[in-house]
Amino acid sequence: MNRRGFFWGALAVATGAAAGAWTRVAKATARLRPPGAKPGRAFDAACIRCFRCAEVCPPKAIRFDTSYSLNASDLPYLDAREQACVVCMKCTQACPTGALTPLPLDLGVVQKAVRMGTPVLDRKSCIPWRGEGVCRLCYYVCPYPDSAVALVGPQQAPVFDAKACIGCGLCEEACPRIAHAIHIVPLEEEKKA
Amino acid sequence: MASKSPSASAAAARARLSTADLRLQRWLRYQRVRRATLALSVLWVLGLPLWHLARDLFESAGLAAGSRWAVLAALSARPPNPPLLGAPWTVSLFGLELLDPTAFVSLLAARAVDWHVVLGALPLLVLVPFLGRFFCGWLCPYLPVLAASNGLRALLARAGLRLPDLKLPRWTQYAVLAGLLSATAVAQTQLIPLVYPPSLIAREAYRAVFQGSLGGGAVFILGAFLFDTFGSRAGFCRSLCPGGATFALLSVRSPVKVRREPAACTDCTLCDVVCNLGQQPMTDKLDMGCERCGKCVSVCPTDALRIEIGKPVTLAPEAVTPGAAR
Amino acid sequence: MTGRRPLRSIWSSRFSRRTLLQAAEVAGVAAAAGGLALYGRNRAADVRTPGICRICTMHCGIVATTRGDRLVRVEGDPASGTRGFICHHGYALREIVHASDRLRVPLKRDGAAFREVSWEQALSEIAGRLNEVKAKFGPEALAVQTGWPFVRHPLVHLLHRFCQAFGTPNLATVASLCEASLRMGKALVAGSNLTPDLRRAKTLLVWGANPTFTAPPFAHLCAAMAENGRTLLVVDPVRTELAAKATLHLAPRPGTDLALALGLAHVIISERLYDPAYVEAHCAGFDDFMVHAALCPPARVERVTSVPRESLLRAAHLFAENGPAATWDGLGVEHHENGVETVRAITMLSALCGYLDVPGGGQLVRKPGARFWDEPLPQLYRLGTPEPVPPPVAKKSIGYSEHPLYEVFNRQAQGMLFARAMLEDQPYPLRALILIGSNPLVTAPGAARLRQAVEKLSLLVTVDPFLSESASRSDYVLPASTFAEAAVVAAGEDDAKVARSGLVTEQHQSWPDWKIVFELARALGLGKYFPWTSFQEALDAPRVPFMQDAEHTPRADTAPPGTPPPRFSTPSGKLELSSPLMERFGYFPIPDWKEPAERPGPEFPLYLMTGPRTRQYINSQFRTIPSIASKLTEPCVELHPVAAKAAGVVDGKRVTVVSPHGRVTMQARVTDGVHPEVVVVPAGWASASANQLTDPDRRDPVSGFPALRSGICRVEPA
Repeated sequence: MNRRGFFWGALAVATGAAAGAWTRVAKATARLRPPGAKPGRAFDAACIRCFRCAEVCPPKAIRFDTSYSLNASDLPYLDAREQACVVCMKCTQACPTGALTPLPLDLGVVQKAVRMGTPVLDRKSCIPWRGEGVCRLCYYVCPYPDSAVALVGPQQAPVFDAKACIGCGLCEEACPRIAHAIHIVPLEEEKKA
Repeated sequence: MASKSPSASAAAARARLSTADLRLQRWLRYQRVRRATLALSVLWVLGLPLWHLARDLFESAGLAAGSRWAVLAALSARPPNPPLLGAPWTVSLFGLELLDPTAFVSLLAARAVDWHVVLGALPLLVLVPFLGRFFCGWLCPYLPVLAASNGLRALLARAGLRLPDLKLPRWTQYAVLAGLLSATAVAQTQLIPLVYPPSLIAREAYRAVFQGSLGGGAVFILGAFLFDTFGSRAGFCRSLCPGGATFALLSVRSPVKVRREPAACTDCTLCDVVCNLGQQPMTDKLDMGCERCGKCVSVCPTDALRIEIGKPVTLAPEAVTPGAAR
Repeated sequence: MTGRRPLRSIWSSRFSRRTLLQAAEVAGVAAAAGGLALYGRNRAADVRTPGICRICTMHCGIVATTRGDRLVRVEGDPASGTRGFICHHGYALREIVHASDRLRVPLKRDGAAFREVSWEQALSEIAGRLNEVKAKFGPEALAVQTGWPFVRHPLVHLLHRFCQAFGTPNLATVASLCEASLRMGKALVAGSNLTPDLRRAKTLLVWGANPTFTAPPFAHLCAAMAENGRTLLVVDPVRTELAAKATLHLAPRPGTDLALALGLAHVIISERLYDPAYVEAHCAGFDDFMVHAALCPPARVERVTSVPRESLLRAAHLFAENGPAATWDGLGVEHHENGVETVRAITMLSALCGYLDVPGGGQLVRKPGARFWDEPLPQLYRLGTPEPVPPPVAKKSIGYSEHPLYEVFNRQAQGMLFARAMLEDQPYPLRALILIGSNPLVTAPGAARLRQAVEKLSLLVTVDPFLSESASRSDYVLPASTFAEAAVVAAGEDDAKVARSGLVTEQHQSWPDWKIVFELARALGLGKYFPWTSFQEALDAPRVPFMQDAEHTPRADTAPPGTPPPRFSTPSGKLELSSPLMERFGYFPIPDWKEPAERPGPEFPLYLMTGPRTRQYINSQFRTIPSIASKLTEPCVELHPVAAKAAGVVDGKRVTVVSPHGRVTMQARVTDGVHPEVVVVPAGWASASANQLTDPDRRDPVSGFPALRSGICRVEPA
């Protein structure tokens, strides 16, 4: 390598570092990551955007960010409202880099290991909490009924337990469009708040 | 090399065929294998999402809703679990995990290497120093885009349009790689996948099928295509691609090289012209940027070039004749 | 390679093969890129359609979102009667409709395997073989049996028409073992089916029912009873979710509910808790009933049912003093050898206290005037059938000689006796069976015998969207569309009127049930009875009275004009505590407690209760639908710690349940939520079928219902 090459190489490294630093501090929208994802930035660092998780996902819940930002583009995420995680854990076993920790399909193990987000219920929109009817669909679709979501009162209104909830988003997906009462808040966003 | 009188049959063959036809025939013969692997790679990249879609249509009621690929799905029976998963740069083939060295290097920079990654990268880390940049010439799904770019260049040149051919210095590629790795290390997020065509193209194909949208990757590939066509012939592969740089750096000591038999060489320059990556086999100016595609070998009218392992073998001039291999 | 040349020379020169290759490369990549880009743009828009979920009998209102020809989402419809409720079954409708294991084409048995055939071939071959059976054994050798999807479905009337046109009286529905005996029992007392007035009731008596699982859209009304300071009484050997919330939970031994009900009646009468004015005005046979109820004093009831005397007295007081009380009884009271009698006795409690046809009590389902035997399948009589009416069938249906009242009420064969007709040719041979949405090999008692019987059939045809266990043993399997793909018909009074279009088109080569029936009729040469091209046409066709003989003509038609119809449409016009109709058909007119013939003994020390409802499944359906199947992957037998200890069984380990008829192995769940003498075995699991344990010959003499919930068994470690 000649002197010019060395100079340009050093310049490239410096520019790269600067760009990296800028990327690092740039704001990124928090999204639901697939189950078993490493926390926060460790996931971004380990995920090589190979989409094998999405390929094996039975309901094709895992999608890829289409934004042009360097720190978000092409990262896998879930839009729970559109299609939630069905808790099959196939993606965790397909991940080639360990960005998703491999987990067995055992609801007990999964409940201990997985926290995709925390459920937030807007009682002003929830059909039973408004006293407008009986719904209970979140309870019916939840993989951990009575633990992550319980029904209370004569209207059988849902109450969520964030500690027991894995954040799969099945309830958010099932929540009727007119209510739109449940939202799974991604962990990162929750930390910031 | 076991035919009875090679020189006589070669002379007869030469007499029967015009030079141009002969060249084309040999071109096709020698490049057929490469084209086949390339076709498989493209089929894999574009076909795998469709295959998944077909499976999806059969096995669940997911996002595949409203698909117009239903005909394809109807044609295939209920498919078994696919033995093939992933983009070309991280493959799971019948349970065998293969990881592109570029991904390995990038994960190394992001300090996100665990035993999964080492195990997956090991086969190629062993193979690449031996075979060199073979991936670029034989499997990369960007190659059809490059071929289209070259084709367009040729067609435009035919039409009389003179296109610039910027020759960036060789080290640009390594500078790009170094910059990307340093950015990755600082940003703690994988950036190479966003500019590395094998990863990009496969992901865009997948996303188009399942999400119904294209992302920044499509724009990037379009940019690379325009650069290759109107700026610099194969300029992206030659001097920008970080993956090519990784492969090249790994294959410094690769024993698999293009060798020239000076006695047979007629200095016709065809090999230098046909090379996408600016190698010059005619003057033995080959470096680690060579992708072992063998086009120079195929194009050589006197069979003066060979891809060989280790030291070159001196060939008798009469053996180096077309048709001798028959 | 090419120098600069004038443009014209380019076009005039011949293109070489290389040029073509280059052009092809450019075109290929452009096409691939364009294709990908275009694919992203051109997607079908979402369409939201209101509909009705027919998976269970709740018929919840749904709003379905379709994208192209795919169902992508199902939501509850807040504007419907169920006010936005749907359960995980309705929610999984998209998975059910687009399931990978849906039947795609008609199948014909070919040795051990199936061969795909066309609809024309399948129907013409079935018709040919049916005609062979008809020629050899008579038309009554054909039986048609429908399953759960056809509960309260107007297609049943057309199936009656189909059977009558063919010449067989043997149509059996799920009424052979589900709900019909409840309606019979109530109609025998009150002349009509009854429905609890949940919103106005001060007290709710839930007897052998689990509305939490079986009627989820209304379950909150039951659960809210206790919470709102009202009284909730639950009678169930199992402590259900509702029982845990109840004011008082009575847990009798299975099959002793009649003794408990008579005991309650005795307390209510002897302590003068009943409503003398109401009884005087509206009840017939009170004196006879009083005498029989006195045969069940609290001491005897405690001995028989294991319900403590104090609980019995408290229950009687709560029920009689906190009126009006509504009663919700379920399958738990009818799957015994005295099912109809038990239902009658329970209904009589309400009659004594004056809770029938009053606000907050039991509401009559039908308007007064018509005869009570119109009730169990009201549409059958109300709708009639279009002209031309097929000629009446002379032969009586299978089960008529044993359970004539069942036939009078339902105008159906008793499906529980089909196995005997196949095996022993009693009362006549049964050689061809068409199952429509029915899976008796898993869901009917005596699975082993039925399996044997099915082998003897000349022809077994199954119509189903999935390859059920029964379908896999059939000669022909016809793929049916689900309700989401066909015109949906709403439940209730306007059955005939509300027919909507399907949410999506028929999947694969499946046909809607009506089309299968109509086309089969045409293949049989009965096309003149089925001239319609759509279900709606068939429903809209003008009707004439159908299947009515002089004995069954509603009183409104025969009574002199100007006479006001009685309040209760029983023969006497009153609530019948003693039923002359029962007497006419040879039964004892008053509910009478008799010890059952089969009781736990040394060899089988425990009661066997099979088939309680679960939240996760509806009978044997949808066991392969991922989101439903993932809720419960393994059957669990439930038993009390005392019984478990005696049997040496540990919680979570595999155990074998042995009855006089067979054995099954499944996981044990030891819980104090069940009666100490009871073993609860879930039904619907093909792998460990509870019906290997059940006895098809222990039937209620009135309705013919099998005694699924009062068998005997023992438990041993597997």
